[in-house]
Amino acid sequence: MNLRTLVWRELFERKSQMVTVFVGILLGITTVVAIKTITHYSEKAVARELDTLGANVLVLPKSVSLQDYYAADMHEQYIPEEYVLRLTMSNLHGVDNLSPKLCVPVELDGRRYTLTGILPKSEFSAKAAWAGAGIFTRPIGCGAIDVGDSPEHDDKRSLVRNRVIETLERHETLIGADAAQALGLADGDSVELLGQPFSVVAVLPTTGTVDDSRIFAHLHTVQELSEHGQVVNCIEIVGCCKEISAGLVDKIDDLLPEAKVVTVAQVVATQAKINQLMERLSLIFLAIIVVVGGAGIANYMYANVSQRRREIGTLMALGAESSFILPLFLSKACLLGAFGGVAGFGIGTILAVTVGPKLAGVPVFPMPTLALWAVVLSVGIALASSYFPARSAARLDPCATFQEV
Amino acid sequence: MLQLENVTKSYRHRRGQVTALDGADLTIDSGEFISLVGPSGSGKSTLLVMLGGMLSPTSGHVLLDGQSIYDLGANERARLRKAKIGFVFQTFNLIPYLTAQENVQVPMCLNGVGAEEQTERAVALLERMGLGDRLDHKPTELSVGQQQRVALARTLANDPALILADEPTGNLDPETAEQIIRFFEQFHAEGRTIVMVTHDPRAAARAKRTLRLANGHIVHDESPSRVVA
Amino acid sequence: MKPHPTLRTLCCLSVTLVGSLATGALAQTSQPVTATTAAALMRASARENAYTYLFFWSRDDQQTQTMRQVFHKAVRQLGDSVHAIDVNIADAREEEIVDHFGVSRAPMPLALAVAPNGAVTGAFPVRFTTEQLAQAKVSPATQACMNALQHRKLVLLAIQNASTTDRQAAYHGASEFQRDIRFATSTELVTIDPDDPAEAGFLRRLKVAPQTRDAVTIVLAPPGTPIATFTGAVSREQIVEKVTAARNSCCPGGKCGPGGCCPGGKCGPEGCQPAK
Repeated sequence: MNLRTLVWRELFERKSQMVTVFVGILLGITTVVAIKTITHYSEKAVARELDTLGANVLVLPKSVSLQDYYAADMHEQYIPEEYVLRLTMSNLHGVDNLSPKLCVPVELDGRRYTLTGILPKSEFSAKAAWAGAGIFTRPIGCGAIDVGDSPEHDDKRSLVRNRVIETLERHETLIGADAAQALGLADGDSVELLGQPFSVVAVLPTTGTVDDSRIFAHLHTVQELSEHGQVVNCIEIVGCCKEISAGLVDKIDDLLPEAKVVTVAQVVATQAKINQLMERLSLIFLAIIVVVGGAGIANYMYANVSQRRREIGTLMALGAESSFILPLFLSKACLLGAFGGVAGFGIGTILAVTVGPKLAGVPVFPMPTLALWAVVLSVGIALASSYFPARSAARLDPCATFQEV
Repeated sequence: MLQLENVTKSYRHRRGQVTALDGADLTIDSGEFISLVGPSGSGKSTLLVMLGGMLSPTSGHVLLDGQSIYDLGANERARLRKAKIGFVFQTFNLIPYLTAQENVQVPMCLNGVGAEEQTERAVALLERMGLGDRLDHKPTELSVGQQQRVALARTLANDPALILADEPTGNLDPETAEQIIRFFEQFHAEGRTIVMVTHDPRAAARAKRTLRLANGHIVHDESPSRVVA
Repeated sequence: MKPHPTLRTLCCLSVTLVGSLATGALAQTSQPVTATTAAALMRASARENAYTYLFFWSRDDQQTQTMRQVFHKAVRQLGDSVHAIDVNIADAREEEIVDHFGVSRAPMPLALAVAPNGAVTGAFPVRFTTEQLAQAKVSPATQACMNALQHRKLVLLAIQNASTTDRQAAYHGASEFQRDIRFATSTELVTIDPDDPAEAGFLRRLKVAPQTRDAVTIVLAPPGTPIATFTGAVSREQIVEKVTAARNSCCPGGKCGPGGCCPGGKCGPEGCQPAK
């Protein structure tokens, strides 16, 4: 027999009360952990996008409202493909690379994937040299210089890094890492898409973005198979930073007045706003947990002390000091807090990992560091709100145990 | 062993001052078996808990083995109880979610006795009380007589020199009450001092000394050697 | 009865010749050529060392009609050295030329200026002016450079004549580079006489003073970026060094923002590498 046995046995003595308080703590921690996890990965995605795509510009249909860079082409609005050549043949400085995309849904093995049509650079880059003699006076661009021998070194996997690919045959396909794993596909395999056989030329490396679950094929093949005509959902431009700051976006806007031109920075700003909102929301939830959860625990503890007056009095009559009574209640609060915190972290994490990608459009992974945070928070709230009830128990008049005093 | 020196206990009540104990003087020697009798509200239980160090007097002194116990702090008094005093309650006051054995172990746990010794001693005490086959029973699974016997075993857990009992047979049928009184006689025979509050004349008669209280005064001390003025 | 093969060849040649003559006549009056195809016209132009201006269109809408007028006005102003033709990209007979330039998905209307050597010296989608079309007629050296660049080749431009200093050393270095196994198939050597008045404009664009007394060697990379300029003698190694540096550079034009022109990677001595 020791303090732990007493606490543990008593905990299950009043199950319904205990469960109510436990569920209260659990729900609170679950919500905060879920929001925090999703926000963290969303912020990370934003940071990564800023880091990796700082110089990018998107050309989109006017009606598209964009909140996620990686899903910029996941809509059913279209712009003509000819915009690609308008951009290529223009005298704009700082357009380093272009990547038009058209997305159509495909079903494979009972699961839906996004088939993204992309245009290899070889099909339009030569037209950049059509810009006349003025081309010789252009400043050196920001991208890697083409010295004419790159086709030999064409690595299809560079798509994920450079956002463009040098060559791609009409019957070839590139598979995102997750999609390849789910479909059991490897380099050299063949797969049927929209009723036509394709050969897998490369499984792309993992990027941690929605690109991992995409399948890429030649834009013109995708257009034909999906009967969409000569349109695309979006044109991604890898532009030079200094040219972007020098007004490249406005110039593209002038060139393509029927399209919407946004920079990644703008997209990221939208996402950052959502993250801020989520962050504030998690703070509100935190406040609710502290106030409502804390009040709930305090109420439960006061009721517990009241119900156990005789028991406490008996323990005192038997020689229990206040240093025994106080931990008797605080340990119970600590246990409830710890279990609530751990379970809340577990459920919150599962919720974040499963629902997060749908809500925030970014892959979400468990955050072990939040476990400590969740436990400290819930134990802290439980202890703080139990302190006064526990102190009142420790100061209880032991005479309450006698019949006539 | 115990001494009350002009002890008064007054309560403040809505209608005014209530005096539960009024200038009581009393000496209890080691090994005495005393019954405290008197009508309800006469101050019996007040006197008992005061002797147990749980209710400080308004004035006067309570001495245990020559030490004024209310000059000690609450925690020091608790340690004193743990070491020297055992309590028996009318409603047994067993902890409902613990087994008979665990209930007996509680005072030992408070006294810092090791787990193994706790178990050995609790089992021995329960066997002595005739409850060797009820070790793992919870209070609700025991009869009232059995519950009081578990409470008696708990009282003996730390081998107290002084046993303070508040109506120990109050809730029991005459047969069980007799059984409990017999245990008290055994404890007395072992040399323990027993102070027992009771309404039961038969129980009171078994004590070696009877103190009668009325309106906060010890009005009668029926013992071969003392007469209260 | 089948015609004799020789007779059949003669017939074909005469049809082509007649077609070519007809194209020239029609172009001079800047009327749309309907009697022959754009591909045939281009072949004829190449033989005559003339430019071909092509007006591609798909829908005969207001924009097309307006631009067609601008196009033909410009062609008239350019005179005899230019042949012109309207090309409806939906016309099956024009499939060859549409495929050749890959303009089936280009914005329309589209005017292309094609040099006698086949280089596109100007492309003007949707909106253009007569001045723009006039400027698309470039010097012979410019044509040669553009042709090479449009075939994704490096151009070594040797600007020298008998009176420039270090002429032989510069030419030797350029020739050595062209023979280098790593660059042989993708390098074109073009020589310009700095005293040639026709090339003065091109030299100014390349920031080389016309009538320069020193031999100048310029390396041009597709689509037309001058990546190195050497004045005087130059060795193969010097050129290789510059080309390698340019190829491996992530942001040769200047400093970019985070990730900038090397998205998702790290810019190192080996160029843009995947981030570890």
